[in-house]
Amino acid sequence: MITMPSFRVLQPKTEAEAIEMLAAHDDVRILAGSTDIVINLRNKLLSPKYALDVTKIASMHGIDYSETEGLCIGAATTLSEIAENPTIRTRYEALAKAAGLVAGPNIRNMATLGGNICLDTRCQWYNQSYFWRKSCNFCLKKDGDICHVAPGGSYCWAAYSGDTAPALLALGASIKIVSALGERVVDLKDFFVLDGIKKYNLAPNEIVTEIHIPAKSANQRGFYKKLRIRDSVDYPLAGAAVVGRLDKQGRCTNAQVAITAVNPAPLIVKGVEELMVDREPSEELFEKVADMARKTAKPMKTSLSTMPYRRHMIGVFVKQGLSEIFAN
Amino acid sequence: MTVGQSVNRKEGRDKVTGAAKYVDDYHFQDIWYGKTVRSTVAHAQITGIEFLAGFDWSTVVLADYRDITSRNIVALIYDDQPLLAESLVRHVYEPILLIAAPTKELAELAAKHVHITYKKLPAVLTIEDSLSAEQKIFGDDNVFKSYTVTRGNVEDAFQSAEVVVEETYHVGHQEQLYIETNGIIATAKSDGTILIQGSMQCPYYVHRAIKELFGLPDEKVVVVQNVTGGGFGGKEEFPSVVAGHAALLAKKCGHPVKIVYERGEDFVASTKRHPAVIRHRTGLTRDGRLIAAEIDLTFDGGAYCTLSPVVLSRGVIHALGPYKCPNIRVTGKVVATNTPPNGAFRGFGVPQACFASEMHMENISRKLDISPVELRRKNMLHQGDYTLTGQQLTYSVGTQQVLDAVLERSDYLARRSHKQPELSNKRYGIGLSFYYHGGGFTGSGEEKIKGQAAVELTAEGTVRILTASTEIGQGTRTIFSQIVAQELGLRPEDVEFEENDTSKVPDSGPTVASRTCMVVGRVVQMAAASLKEEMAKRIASLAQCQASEIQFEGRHLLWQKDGEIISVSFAEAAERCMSRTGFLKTTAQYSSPPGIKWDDVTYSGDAYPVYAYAADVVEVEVDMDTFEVKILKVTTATDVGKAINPTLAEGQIEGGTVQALGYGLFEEVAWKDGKILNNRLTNYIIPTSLDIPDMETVLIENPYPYGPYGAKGIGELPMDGGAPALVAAIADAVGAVVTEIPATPERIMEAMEKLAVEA
Repeated sequence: MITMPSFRVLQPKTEAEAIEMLAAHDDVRILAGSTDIVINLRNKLLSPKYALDVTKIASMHGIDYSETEGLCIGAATTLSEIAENPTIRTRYEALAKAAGLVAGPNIRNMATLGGNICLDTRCQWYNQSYFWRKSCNFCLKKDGDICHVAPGGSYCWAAYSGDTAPALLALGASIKIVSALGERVVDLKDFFVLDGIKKYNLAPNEIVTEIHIPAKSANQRGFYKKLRIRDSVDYPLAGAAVVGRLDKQGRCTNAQVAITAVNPAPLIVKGVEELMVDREPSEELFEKVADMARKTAKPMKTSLSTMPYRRHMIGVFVKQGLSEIFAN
Repeated sequence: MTVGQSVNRKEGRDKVTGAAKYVDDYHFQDIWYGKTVRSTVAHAQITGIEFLAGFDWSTVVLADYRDITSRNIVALIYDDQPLLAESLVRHVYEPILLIAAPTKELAELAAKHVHITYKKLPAVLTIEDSLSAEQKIFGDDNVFKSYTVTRGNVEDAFQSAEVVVEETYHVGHQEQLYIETNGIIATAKSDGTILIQGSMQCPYYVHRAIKELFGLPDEKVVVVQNVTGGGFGGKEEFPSVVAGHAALLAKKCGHPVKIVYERGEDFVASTKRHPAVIRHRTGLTRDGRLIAAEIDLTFDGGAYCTLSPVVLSRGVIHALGPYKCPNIRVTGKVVATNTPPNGAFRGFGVPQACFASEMHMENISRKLDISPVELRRKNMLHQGDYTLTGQQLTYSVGTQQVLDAVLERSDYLARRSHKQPELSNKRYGIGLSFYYHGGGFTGSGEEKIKGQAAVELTAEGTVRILTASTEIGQGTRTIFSQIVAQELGLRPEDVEFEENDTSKVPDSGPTVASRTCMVVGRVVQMAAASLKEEMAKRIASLAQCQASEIQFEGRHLLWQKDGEIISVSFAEAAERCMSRTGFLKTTAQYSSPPGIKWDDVTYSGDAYPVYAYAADVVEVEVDMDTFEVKILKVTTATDVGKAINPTLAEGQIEGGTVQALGYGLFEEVAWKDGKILNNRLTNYIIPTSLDIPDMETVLIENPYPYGPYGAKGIGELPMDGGAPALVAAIADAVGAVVTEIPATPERIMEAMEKLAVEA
């Protein structure tokens, strides 16, 4: 038997009310689609006193696009809405593709973009029931002081496993975070922390309310592919997003590659733009970028799939993505 | 005619509408919940159990082995498994202590406050460690059971072989993954009776286990099967454990106790398919005729014996596949390890044996450069041939038919020779498997079981079947009602079932071994035939005609009198038949077909009354960059004897094939120090509907003279051939043969690297 821990649910109707509730209560977890968090609650990975449900906040829903302002998505917008949105599908292809590949249809109907960005990191020693973890003396990330992935280490290698973050990173997205102190806008690449426990820079009283993608990122070709064993349901074991565009002369004017599920945070592959811009795409260039991506990936034995294979697949996906995007 | 028609499932509406009540749907006011505290180490002495402060222990009831009044065993074959560990634990997850509480939350909280200390002993975790017997955990050699079957002169035959092909194959654990997890409610009545209800395949197995545990007579234990959400062998012997735990707690706390496992617990606690290492050494003529074979199978039984000897025996008997080989020696052993006990799973030893033997045929065909089809045609069993146990096949041998049908329907020969051009990075491959599966218990098993079933007339003038054969989703109730309706000229909806309750139904034997339709279905048919005879006799004496003149047709009894047809409705006839006695019930018992002989000592003779045969063709596309496999199409042809209900028969075949494809491609239990790393549906991967391609299912009817209307058992058969056909298709695509399943991208990559090195 696995029971749900007891907690009270707070259900604000506005952002202001949510901020107030966060300030007034201790030990609050934010719930959106709840598709991931409920399992973690049942596994006693979390045991908050309060759960604040943001799905009733109207301002946190919706997709807005303008040619000057770019794309704004409420953090509580579901992944299905994003995957099926015609504007996103045509102008921000990589995001639509990534959102459409998360889990299966029923999960996508519930899960939100904000929730997917703020997904907990995953590890085969962590995503287990209380009694299972206890039988292994727990681990660094929760209740214990040892790491089963890198014995002797004091760093948590749990893998970031969101699908949408790499696409958003490649598109240069930023997120809006609100709290009693006001609001701040953070570049997504600065939001994540390469640490399986800390994961990202978000204080307990803060809420991610909005995701913004600049207008200049619109209308590029986009690609996202993930490694998973089945054609549905599974979390990524490795994933890569690629965006880019060519000018009329067939030269690259932008190229961005970001990877997921092979590090404790999603990462932009550094130096891709510098390498590719103003050049004519070529197999040789693609191979170089794939190699850079492979070097950025540091998968550890956090899942059943092997490390060399996951790294190999990052290279395969990046090359496929580049060939697809820069095909004439 | 209702037999042979795809009538609707008897219980389908209830299941679809949610009206069906599974064990967890039962709520009693005073019910308590049971929680099992399990070992966290693989092999150890228990040095202490601490009940930590910070919990009010007076709010719960605890039970351990000392509360067992008779024998602390899970009664089965060796009686070596304790219901609750005493001083020694032999595997991780072994039950040690039980907690009952008025709420689940309280039971869970109590469990968190139990601290067990151990003195660790060296653990045996693999087949190799067990065989070395450096650490003895069972007897002198860690071997639960071994068999040797010999025919002809193997040594001499190898001398004359022109080619010898040798290879070793590995298969891992597989979880049954029935959709409903294990669950039992136990009630201890004031008169000492123990009442068990829940999810199970074999109510009489649970009945026996509870009797042994408490030293109770037959009538003091009542076991009722609730609607059961799948079993696949996983609810053959294991529910005895859950029932024992719940009963012990119920007796002690004085409340009905419910234990329903959540998936993670079910996964680690329950039995799985035995991992195996299987070595084949085969001597052939250069043109591909088998003349000598040595096959050695080693199964990992886990910490306790459970059904391992029987699983192994089936694996040994099926080790060669449906082929002729005049000189053969098969050796098999099942060894003990400090891992959770393995047990029954659809196929019961054959999927392991069949993967090895069919992949070996693939390897032989490559080595001799003979087509896989020709190799099979040269060596396949035909009517009149002898199997490796010396059984002569005298009837219902559909080998040639299934092979011809699968080749024709899949267009195998054309598709294999005219592969699509190698566009991009995708390679096409097509693979074949050819296999058989014996129906019913092995050897003298059915003679010992003597399965019974009964039919009776109801007050409403319909018919009721009394059987312990369980409906677990495979269609027992539908096909039994079709068989009885056919015998008595009724419609399947005129046939009802007595509740599957050991105090009400006779012991039909367990719902296992592909025996429900073929063996118990036959018994049900015999019982219905006796009922018909008895009704005809009674009506004839009233109507003053000959019993033999009375026809049962269209829900009526008909006979001729003075040139006129007289008809009376079945209901009215039933009422007349019961007017004097008040009831009419006939019981039948199984007897083996004539001429069946089996020798348990030499392991020779008629291993099974009959075999069902099948052949699969699997087509795949392999991505040469990622080594991911996409299954494009599966074609199967199966000699079922007779399809009582073709849609249900096809469902069995398709469902079994999906499990077999999962076995071949995805399903793998990952271990660390005897613990299971992937006990969840997120990481123990089974195929989803997106991973399963179009299937074409060909039924071939080659009647078995002693089955109901010619039907043979096909419950397990489709689990056997999917994996080797799939891996053969991968080999065809990439040129390398994977000898260990699941054939993950990593293993395919490895096999190709090995091939490149060899080249």
